[in-house]
Amino acid sequence: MGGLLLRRVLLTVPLLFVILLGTFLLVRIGGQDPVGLLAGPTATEAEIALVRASLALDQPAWVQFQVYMGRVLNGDLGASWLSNRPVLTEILERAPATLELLFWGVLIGAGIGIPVGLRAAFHPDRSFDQVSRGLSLLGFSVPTYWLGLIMLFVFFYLLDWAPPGMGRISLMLDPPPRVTGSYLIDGLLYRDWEVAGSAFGQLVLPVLCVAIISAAPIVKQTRAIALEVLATDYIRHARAQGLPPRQIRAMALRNSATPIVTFIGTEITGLVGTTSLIEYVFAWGGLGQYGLSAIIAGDFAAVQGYVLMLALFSVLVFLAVDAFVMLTEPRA
Amino acid sequence: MSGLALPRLIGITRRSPTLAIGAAILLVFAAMAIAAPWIAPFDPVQAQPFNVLAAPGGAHPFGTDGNGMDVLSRVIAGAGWAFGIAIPAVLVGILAGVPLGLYTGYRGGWFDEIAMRFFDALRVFPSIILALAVVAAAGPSLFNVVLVIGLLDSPVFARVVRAEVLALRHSGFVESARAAGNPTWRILFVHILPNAIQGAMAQAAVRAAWAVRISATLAFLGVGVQPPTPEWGAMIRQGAEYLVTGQWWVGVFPGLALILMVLGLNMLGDGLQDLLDPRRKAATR
Amino acid sequence: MSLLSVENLHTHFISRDLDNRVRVFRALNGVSFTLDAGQVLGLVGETGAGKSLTATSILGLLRPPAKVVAGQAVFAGEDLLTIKEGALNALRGHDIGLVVQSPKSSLDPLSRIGDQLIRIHRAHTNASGAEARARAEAMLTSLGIPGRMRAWPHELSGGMAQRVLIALALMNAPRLLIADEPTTGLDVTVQAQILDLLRDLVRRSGVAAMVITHDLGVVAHYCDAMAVMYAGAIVESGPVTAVFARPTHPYTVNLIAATPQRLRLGAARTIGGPPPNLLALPEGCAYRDRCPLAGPDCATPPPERALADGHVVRCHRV
Repeated sequence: MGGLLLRRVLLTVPLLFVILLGTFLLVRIGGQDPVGLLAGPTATEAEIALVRASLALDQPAWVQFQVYMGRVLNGDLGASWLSNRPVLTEILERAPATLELLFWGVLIGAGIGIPVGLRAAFHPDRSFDQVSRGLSLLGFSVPTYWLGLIMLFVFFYLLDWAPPGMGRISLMLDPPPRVTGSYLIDGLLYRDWEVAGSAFGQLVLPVLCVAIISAAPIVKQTRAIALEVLATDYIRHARAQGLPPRQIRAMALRNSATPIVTFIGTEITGLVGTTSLIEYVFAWGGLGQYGLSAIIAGDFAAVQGYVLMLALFSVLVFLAVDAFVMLTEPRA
Repeated sequence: MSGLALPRLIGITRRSPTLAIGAAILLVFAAMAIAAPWIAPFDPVQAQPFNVLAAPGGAHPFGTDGNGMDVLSRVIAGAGWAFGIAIPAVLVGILAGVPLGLYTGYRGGWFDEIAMRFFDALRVFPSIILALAVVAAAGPSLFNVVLVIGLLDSPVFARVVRAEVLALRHSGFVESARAAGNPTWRILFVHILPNAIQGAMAQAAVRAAWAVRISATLAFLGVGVQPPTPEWGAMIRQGAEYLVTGQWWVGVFPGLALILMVLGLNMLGDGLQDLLDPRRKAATR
Repeated sequence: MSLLSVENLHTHFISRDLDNRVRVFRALNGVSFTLDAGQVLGLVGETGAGKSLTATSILGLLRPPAKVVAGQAVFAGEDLLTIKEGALNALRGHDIGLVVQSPKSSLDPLSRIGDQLIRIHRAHTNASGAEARARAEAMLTSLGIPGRMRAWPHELSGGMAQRVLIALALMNAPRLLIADEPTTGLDVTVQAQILDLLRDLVRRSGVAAMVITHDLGVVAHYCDAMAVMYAGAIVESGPVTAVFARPTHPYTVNLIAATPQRLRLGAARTIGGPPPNLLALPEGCAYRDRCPLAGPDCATPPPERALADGHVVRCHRV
């Protein structure tokens, strides 16, 4: 089993290669001068010369790629022209904020989506199924950022239940000392209830947005997976054996678990994009907002590093899903 | 045949209410887009400096925005922009994806392998981030927006068509067409394509929904169509700052229009897929 | 009194087409037969004749759009078609065992063989875990696959999986065993082993069995009685010896004649003409369009004629 997982890890090597090639090509799209994109519009002559030298632009493209690959493998993602700081440092600083949002959002989204999808599949075409299908279609159609704006309008402006969407903690408070990077968890660890409470309050709306957006595809797919399992020979056979409905459901549930987890794993990539937009609306200050701002500002050293990190994250999630499948499937 | 049209319409509606509702929504938007100059009460980009941020009511049922432009007229005009970006983008996706799917499926071998691995690799990037980064790098012109959205769509069409081709490649009629000495391109386009296109068409509606969404997202982020163009995403961007000061109508109405149109396209796509494969019952995206 | 008595069973598939017209697919058109305790009945016919559907109708396992529209199926004094779902569920797997034709895909892929056997036993009895385990082990041994309690379904060959299905069906000592094409997809030698095993177990335990097959060889070798199905109805039935000695319905005659080496296991059988279109069956005898002996009187429903020894045939030409 360990060998199998190792094989999977090795299989990601060509994938990582393609990802590197993609980010390499990103700043060369349409014959653009990569120096201009990477150094930024305000670069001085000296900075431009520095970037030009680091890209090995006088060499053929293949050598340039090798140079780029070598730098990335050494953890050098270049420097942001906006802040003049190493991109890797900036990314690592912001990653916990994004992971926090993504984790709670997907956890709640799956916590709602899976039971709803299962119930819909167990009673297909009843009113519950139809209502949940309608809501899921609606969830597919709501623009993420608009949902965030409406949440702020309703719960901050109209009802005043939620704090303004300005970061991860009240402006009056200092962030807790960094342990995990999650203000909520770190606040709790240091028994600073005021900090933890404020961090929690700031988390509610953006997490709710991610949960709603992620629940829609989870409902739809869980329902489809469970319906497929319920139509299998072994479920039919279980019925013919007169097993109690409760046991048949448990059997269907266990057999649906692996495809559902696999699906959520593949959805993570898209949800990272969703989370970025939510971060943008709530001024979350995480990796997503960093990436979007970098793209909008044209800070392509940061964009390159950001896109690379996202891809790496997806690959890690896919590997984790593979490991889960191998642990739970007797056939694997 | 026309005598059968009504019962057939009722039959399809019964079989898939989703499809019927989706088609109805889209028809309304299409009518709106075409008739915009006649039904819109105001010029969508005409600023009225003395009538900014007027609340809904009176001459402005949806109110006016920060430039004093009529929100209702802008929402109506936005339908044209949504179709105007989504339709060419999906066409680009089909034109790039379908031949690729035909060829990779029919040929197989290393070319197919590389193309499929490349599509797999694309899936590790969030599509919105990829679209945004590429559009920003290539320059945020309308042409680039359409091109990038279309190209990011093309793997979907390629996959659907490829799967059909794999199923048809060794079927009797293809074998006999080959035996009769037809050139490869003729077998692909004349014999295989008509059979493979059905699945791609159901996907087209879903991909159009995605194109409408993503182009609006680009505009919302300020990359792509720029204000004061009456594009829904750009309008939501304008309205965002007013939401927390109470002038909700600037951002809410274009958002509702966007939801409704994307919903219509999604329902159409879902319904078509159900109709083509009743066993599927709305599975994968 | 017979153990199972099916009377005039009608099952239809009811759907609507794109033009919103109701389409009725008459899959079963009045199936009637009886099965006595300890008897082995062979239900034989072409694919699509309604053999499996007869079994699923009786067991209440139909899914929409299929629906029983008329008839009764009395098992041990109770009509299975009107009985409450809970009571029927208690009968299934306890009094009536079912062996299906796709053994590998019919086993829960996430449970070990032993656990599946124990599960069905404990679902229907008050047996303790240890008792159920002992019975499961004994059952696997009697089926010639001892020591397979901890195996996963995907580790089994088709023949072994079929033995496990038989073990599952016999776990609660049923009074009736329904075997639906129990050897389809297996090697010919394995087929014979499975059928011999099934026959021995049936003979030893005195359970009644209904074997669904398209293979006349199976019927000849393993059954006491047989019923020939065509287009959702039984056209001829009776003791195997009597029917083979004097096949009377033209379809039965054809079926037997089309078996090149008579009564060989696994022999092919093809009948001239296309299979019946159940959306538009001819009036009267359903076999009329393909029958070499058809005449104008076949446009009326054929009468049921009793020959010697319980041999019954439905045909105008008797």
